[in-house]
Amino acid sequence: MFKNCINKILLSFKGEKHIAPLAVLRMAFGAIMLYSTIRFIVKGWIYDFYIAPKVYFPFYGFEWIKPLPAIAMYAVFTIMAIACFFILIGFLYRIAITTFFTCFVYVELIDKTYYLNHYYFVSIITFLLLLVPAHRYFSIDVIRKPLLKVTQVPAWTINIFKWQLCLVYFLAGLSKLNYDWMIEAMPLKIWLPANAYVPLIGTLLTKTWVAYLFSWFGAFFDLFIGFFLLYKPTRKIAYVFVVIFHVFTGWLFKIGMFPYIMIFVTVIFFSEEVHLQFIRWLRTIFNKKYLQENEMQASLVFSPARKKVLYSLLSVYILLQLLLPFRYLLYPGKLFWTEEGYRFSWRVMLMEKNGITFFYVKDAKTGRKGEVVNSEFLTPLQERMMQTQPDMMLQYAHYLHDVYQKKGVNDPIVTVESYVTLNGSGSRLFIDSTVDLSKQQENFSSKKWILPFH
Amino acid sequence: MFIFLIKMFMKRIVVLFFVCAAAVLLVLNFSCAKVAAAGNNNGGTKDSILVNIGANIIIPGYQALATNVNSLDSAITDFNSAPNSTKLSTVQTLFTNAYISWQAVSAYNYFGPASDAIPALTGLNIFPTTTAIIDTNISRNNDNVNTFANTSAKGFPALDYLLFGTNNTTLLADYTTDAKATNRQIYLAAVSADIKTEVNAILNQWLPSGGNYINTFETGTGNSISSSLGLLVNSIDQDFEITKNDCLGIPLAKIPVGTVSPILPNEVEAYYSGISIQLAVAETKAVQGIYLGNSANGNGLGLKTYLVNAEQQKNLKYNGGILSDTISLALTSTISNMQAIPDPLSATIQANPANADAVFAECQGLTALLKTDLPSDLMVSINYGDTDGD
Repeated sequence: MFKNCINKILLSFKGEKHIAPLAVLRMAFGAIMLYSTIRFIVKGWIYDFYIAPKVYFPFYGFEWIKPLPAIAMYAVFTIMAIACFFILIGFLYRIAITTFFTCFVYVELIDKTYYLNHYYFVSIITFLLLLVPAHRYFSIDVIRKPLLKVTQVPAWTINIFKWQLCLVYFLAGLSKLNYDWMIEAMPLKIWLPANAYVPLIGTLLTKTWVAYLFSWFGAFFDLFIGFFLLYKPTRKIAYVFVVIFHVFTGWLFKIGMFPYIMIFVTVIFFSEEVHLQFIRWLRTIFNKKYLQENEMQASLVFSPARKKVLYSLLSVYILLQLLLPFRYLLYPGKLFWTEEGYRFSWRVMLMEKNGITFFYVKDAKTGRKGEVVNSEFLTPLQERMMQTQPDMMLQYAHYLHDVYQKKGVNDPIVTVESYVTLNGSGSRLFIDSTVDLSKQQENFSSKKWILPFH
Repeated sequence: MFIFLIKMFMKRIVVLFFVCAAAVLLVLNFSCAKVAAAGNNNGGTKDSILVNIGANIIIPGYQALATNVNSLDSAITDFNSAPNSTKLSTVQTLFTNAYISWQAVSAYNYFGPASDAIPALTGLNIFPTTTAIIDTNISRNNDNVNTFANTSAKGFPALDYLLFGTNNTTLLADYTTDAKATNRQIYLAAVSADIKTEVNAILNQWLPSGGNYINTFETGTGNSISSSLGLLVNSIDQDFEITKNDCLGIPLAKIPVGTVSPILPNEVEAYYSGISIQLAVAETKAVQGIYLGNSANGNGLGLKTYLVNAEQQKNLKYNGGILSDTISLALTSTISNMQAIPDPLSATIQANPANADAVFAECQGLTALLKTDLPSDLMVSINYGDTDGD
């Protein structure tokens, strides 16, 4: 049974398929990312996130990534918007997708304050789109160079997206199977009543049983929706559920573009007939003279050398996708508390976590000690994110060490008194307040100075 | 060749351009609609807790401030017409009253009308005041206080210096026989008039007969960053942190300023009149008032009501106890310990800073409760960006 399943999965990566789903995915992704990029610009977040801050929190190993001067940051986002438009219409696709990938990942790496699972998701989808021939059907590129056009592509180029989506949903579901979520209905028990002012269902949201219903339904949805989307008889109804579920959560919670990205990207699950129908419908909008394509079958076959590169890249990527979410097992302590191995694991909406930090700088020679006013150095969002995430506190402590050393403090000793509340636990001491964080280094081993949760 | 291609695809590019333009419009529309919903929700339902806080605490607070500021201004006019020691002490008393009533509203100064009137927020209580600028302005007879250069030469701290800068005999001479007496009178009147204008403008914005922000406040339900609850909690937190840091932390040298420094007694709030502790107490009491819903009209609904509701629904605990009570107790204890510190604070921290040190530590604990547990259990957003999706 199990072996059969594995065989079936492996088989789905072999063989050929019609390219239509890939072309539609390209357009859907281009469109939603264009919208997302413009939204980001319109909201003034380029300034708030990448120009206004005095200090940034790069990811471990990527400290060399720095924001560009203001004008260049605006340029990066403009280029991203243009690239999205080119992806949408399939114009200079290879260049456009590479540019978008580079810019997007660059921006994400500048500061982990703004890390969101759906930005990570976008990075991955862009990476996959980089590997597949999504522009070789129903695109401007094909009109420019008719020889590019193909109708059949290796099945993996389509199925890899389905695999990725199933993985995202399934792991999100798996991470919900914990005591807080299932037994305590936390954090929904805190989050839902806060929406009591919502018309129609507002009063319902204050009921405890509703929090349980949502928690259990959410876990069930995430665990199984991928399989319902894969299985043809349940596909349509599953997609309806995807739309309802995401629109509803998008309405209740402040989760930005995520619901719409998922609604757009999950269209990949539909069969080629559905996608072809959609493309035919699009054609009727445009002048047929240029876009009418005669469906001569043409298969895309990768050369053996190309295959080798692609397959090795894919193997590394699949392996990472399977292992990264479980790296937390290597760390001691409660994952939600320490957040060691938390990011890049599709853990979403699991915690209501809030903290406060009082950083102290002590002069090693004179013994004089003072409290730091965080808002002097950090933006409100950076301060809020730093106050619950130990790796950010460490970066900030090092920054403070350097700042106060320059101001003439001798070998500044930086300590923090930090209180954190997790899922309504009540605030409690989070970090060992005697440890000089400026002497601690970031690495992959467990941070001994995080106090255990109890 | 390329031009030919462009021509060929012009039509479709135009179509697609319009699709994208529509998308952009949608975004703009979306974000504007949201602002409108948050800022101008006229026919909406009112939240009874917000109604109590707005109608019984905030508006009476600004009304009291306006009354005090207006009578201070008339007294100053009267004093300037014929300065004598009786009039001086009347002005001094009225100044103390006005400054204390300013503290009682400073917790609402970080949203709505007060934060829109930027000079009021940044200018009326910048301390320590820069006496050198004030003296220069007086010698040059420059009475335009609303310039960037005069940010630290106006507002209550400037009055503090102008009315208490030296002993009353010398002070009276400064306003009568001194060579710059007239200039000094003019400057005093200008600072007072500026405060009067700003305060009355803010009050007017709140009143139903004026800007009617009270309606926006009472109907601004929900828990987003732009909801009344969100604005209020953030404003209180911001203001209380200023009390902790600027009124106690900096003078006690708990905050590193440049090189970690010794105590800075002359950086206390109201250094010249020596009412620092009275002011800090008034501010903390204002926070307590909003939390408990207490006002001159009796005890009503406050932030604690939200918290108690949330606790009952969710069976929330705070380290084994109840959070809503923990905050009440912390507020009461902080206030009474603060009151035990003798004014003037500048002298106390030089002679015996132990009490003030202890209160600073207590304020820190209270800040932790107000900034972590309170917003967390009320699910008040203190986040400006998107959060993670499901």
